[in-house]
Formats: sequence, C-alpha cells, structure tokens
Amino acid sequence: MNPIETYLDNIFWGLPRTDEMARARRRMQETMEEKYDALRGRGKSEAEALGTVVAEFGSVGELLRELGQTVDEGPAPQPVFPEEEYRRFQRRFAIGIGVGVCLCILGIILGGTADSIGLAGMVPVLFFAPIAVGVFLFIYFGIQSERYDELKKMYGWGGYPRQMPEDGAGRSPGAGRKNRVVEAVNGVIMMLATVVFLVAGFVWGLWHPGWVVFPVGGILCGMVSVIGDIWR
Amino acid sequence: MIGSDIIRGYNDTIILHLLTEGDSYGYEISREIQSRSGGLYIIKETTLYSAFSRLEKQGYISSYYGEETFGRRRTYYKITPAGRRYYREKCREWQDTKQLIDTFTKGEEPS
Repeated sequence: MNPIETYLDNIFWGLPRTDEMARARRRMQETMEEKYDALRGRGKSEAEALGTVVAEFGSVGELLRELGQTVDEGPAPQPVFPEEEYRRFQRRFAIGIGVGVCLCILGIILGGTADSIGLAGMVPVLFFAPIAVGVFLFIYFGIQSERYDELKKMYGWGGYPRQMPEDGAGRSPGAGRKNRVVEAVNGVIMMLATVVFLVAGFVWGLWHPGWVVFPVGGILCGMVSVIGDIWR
Repeated sequence: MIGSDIIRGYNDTIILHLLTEGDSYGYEISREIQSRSGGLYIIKETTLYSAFSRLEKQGYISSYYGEETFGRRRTYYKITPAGRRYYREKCREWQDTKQLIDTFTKGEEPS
C-alpha cells in the first residue's frame, strides 16, 4: 500500500461513506499519486514528496461543503440540520401524540361502557387495545423526538449549544432544568399510582379496578412530557 | 503566494481555460496552473476536485477514462459547448471586475 493510499485512508476514515465520497477519493488519489511520482522522478525523497503532496491536499471541509451542496436527492448525509424534515416531523409528532391521547380516552370510555352496550365479554380488549396503540404512539414519537434533540445539539439549532452528543448530559441549561422537572413529575406520578394501587388493594381489596391507576398514570406522564416539550 | 480566498470565484475559469486548449487530466491541470502562474498559485487537491465535480454536474465538462498505462487508468476531462459559453461569460465578468477594482486601487503607485 503506497503512502498516498495510507494518507487518504486516514483522511476518509471518519467521513460519510457514499458513492460521491468514494469517487472523490479515487479521483484525488489519481492526481496525488501522479504528483508524488513526478516529485520522486525529480529526485525528491519519499518523505519530501509525500510532504509536498500532503501540504497541497487542501481541506476536507471544502470537499464536504462542495459535495453536500450539489447532491440533489440527498442520499448522502448532509452536514446541515435538516430543517424541512424536522418541521414535517413536528407536525407528525403533534398528530401522533394527539391521536394517542384520544385512543387512551377512547379505551377508557369503551372499557367503562362496554356493559351498557352489551359487549361485556369484550371489556379487556376494548379497554386495552386502544390504550396499547396510544402508548405505542407515545413511545415511538418520544424516541423520534429524542433523535432530533441529539441532532439539534450537534448543529447548534434553535439556541442549543454546539457539543458532541453525550448521554443526556449535554443539554442547554434552560432545557436541562425543564427536563429534570418533567422527569421528577413523571416519577412522582407513577409512585403515587403505585401507592394508590397498594392501598386500594390491601385496605379495600380493590385490586381489580385498582390496577387502572397504572395506565392512567402512564397517560398522565405522557401528557406531562408533551407539555414539557412544547414549553421548550 | 496568492491565497485561495481571492481566487475562489475563478478556479472554474482557470480550469476551463486549460481545457479549451485540449482535453486534460487532474495532475496535468494542477501542474500547468502552478507553472503558468510562476508558482504564485498552487491549487489544492480538494479545490481542484471540487471544481471538477461542480463543473461536471453543471454540464460544463465531461469526463472519460483514457488508455491504461502502467496499470493506471487516467480520468480525462473535456470541455463542453456549454462550458465554452460559461467560460466566455466568466472572462467578460473578470474584465468588469478588473475595471471595478482598478477604480478603487488607483493612485497607489508601487514605490
């Protein structure tokens, strides 16, 4: 493996692996190898020739900027925060959470009224199915939202300080405070739910309707999180 | 040494000029730029490739592989008719730019 190849391996190691980038590397390697050979032909040592080629390499940033700009569909990762994509996601997010909440309410209603509309046997299904779907939506959109939060941090979008993504420890001060509040409130909600459940069960033996506190607690947590996110 | 910031708008023009003289390849173009500028402008590898990529995407040049020599296939570039038109435009633009800057740098006689 020639020294030019090694040098380019190092340069391109951390960069996006797309067809565009591969082509750029191939073509630049061609020119660089010819330059290297020409310098050696003029009597330069290996070190001198390589040194000259490297000094005249330029900047990776320039290359990325050029390729990032002129890629049409954008299959290559863009080194820019995807504004348009994020706006579309925000709309989907709002709809998803809204639908999730409605489903949870629907589940509760159906579960409660199943008797009166004569579908008593179906109570568990009517109750759990919509709620399960609703909770799935909360979790799904919650995860997507966190992905965008990581991206926002990386590109310094909307007042987030620019830092490499760390495990939840790199948020901006304002967002950090609200996030801890949301987490604390959620924790309290679920612990209260557990307390209510245990009391209802041991004291009045109401394990059966008592378990409702958990789904309800979960829903309340979801609502608190969404409110917290909207505030940010 | 002339910095690449100043040349930025004209890298394409420089390359197209060389291609109007005939098809050429990466190293030859880089070498010609250095020698014809008397060593004043050494174009960087990334700048050169970025320009090729841009010019090709805009349809001002096209690329093809030459004959294989010593196990190496060279990529050759060729200017297109659209490229020639663009090159003439940039030449006119440079004349206007030169006139403009001359207006504001008059009176500074080299001592």
